[in-house]
Amino acid sequence: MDPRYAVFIWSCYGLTAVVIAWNLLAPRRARNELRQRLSDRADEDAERSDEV
Amino acid sequence: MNWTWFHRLGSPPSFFRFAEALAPWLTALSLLLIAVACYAGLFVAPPDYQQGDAFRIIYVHVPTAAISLSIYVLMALVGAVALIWRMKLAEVAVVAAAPIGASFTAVALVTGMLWGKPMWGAYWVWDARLTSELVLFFLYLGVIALNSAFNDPRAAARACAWLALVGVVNVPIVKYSVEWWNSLHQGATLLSVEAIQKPKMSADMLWPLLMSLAGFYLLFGAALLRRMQNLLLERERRARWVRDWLEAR
Repeated sequence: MDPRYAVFIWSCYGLTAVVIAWNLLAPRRARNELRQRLSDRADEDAERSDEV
Repeated sequence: MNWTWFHRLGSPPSFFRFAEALAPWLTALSLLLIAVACYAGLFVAPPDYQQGDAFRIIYVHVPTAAISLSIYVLMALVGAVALIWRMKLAEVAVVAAAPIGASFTAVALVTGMLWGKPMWGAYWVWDARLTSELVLFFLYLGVIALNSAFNDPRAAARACAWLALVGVVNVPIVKYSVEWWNSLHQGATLLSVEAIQKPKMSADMLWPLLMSLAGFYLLFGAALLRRMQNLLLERERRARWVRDWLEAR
């Protein structure tokens, strides 16, 4: 590969790889957080109904 | 033809199960296609006779630029469905697609700048194509900001749908800017009548580009399904199917 262009080319591919990873991992992380939050809320609701 | 399966997909629990089954396959296939396309683009395709190796940026720049336009058109279409038929899945799709579209538009802009520097001698010129693509990026940011500005998710989705519908006028401007105005940016390589009749690229340069395009579209599909699932879980958190799903985990 022509060394004059190598930095530009690899920067493009590197940035694209980061954005691909973000697009795949961010929803997964959000799902885990959401699942945790919904489970906690369900537990709280169950405790409250037990008390009643 | 029996369309029951299609109507059933309109219900959140059916769609959730459908997305749960489809997304991993889309992810795997998209990563495979993109990996092969990038390898071929970097190491197999011959250098361009004018641009040399710098042309290899095309394998990430063109797919991300093409998909940045396609996502906005999709947002406008599902936005119209959301506004006319008040379909929950369409509302969710408008909101879910915006961050993905913004990320691919940012990649298209930055890779374009990194290609422009060695070819044009400048990272940025206020050219019609570059400027209209930048406007597209701001439109995506506008949809994301608008969604965050409302407490009611349905009202937020409807506002986003309106912005998607109004903003879609920018898409033909981006697409045809290189024909309507004098531009440093080159014309369409793939999506024009002349390019289809007589391809502008040789086959050993073209196939990695087509593979990369297919990979990025599938990647968008996978990311969209995952984001839509998350939004559905959040919105339908009191529904029986969400509680069943949580218990099954």
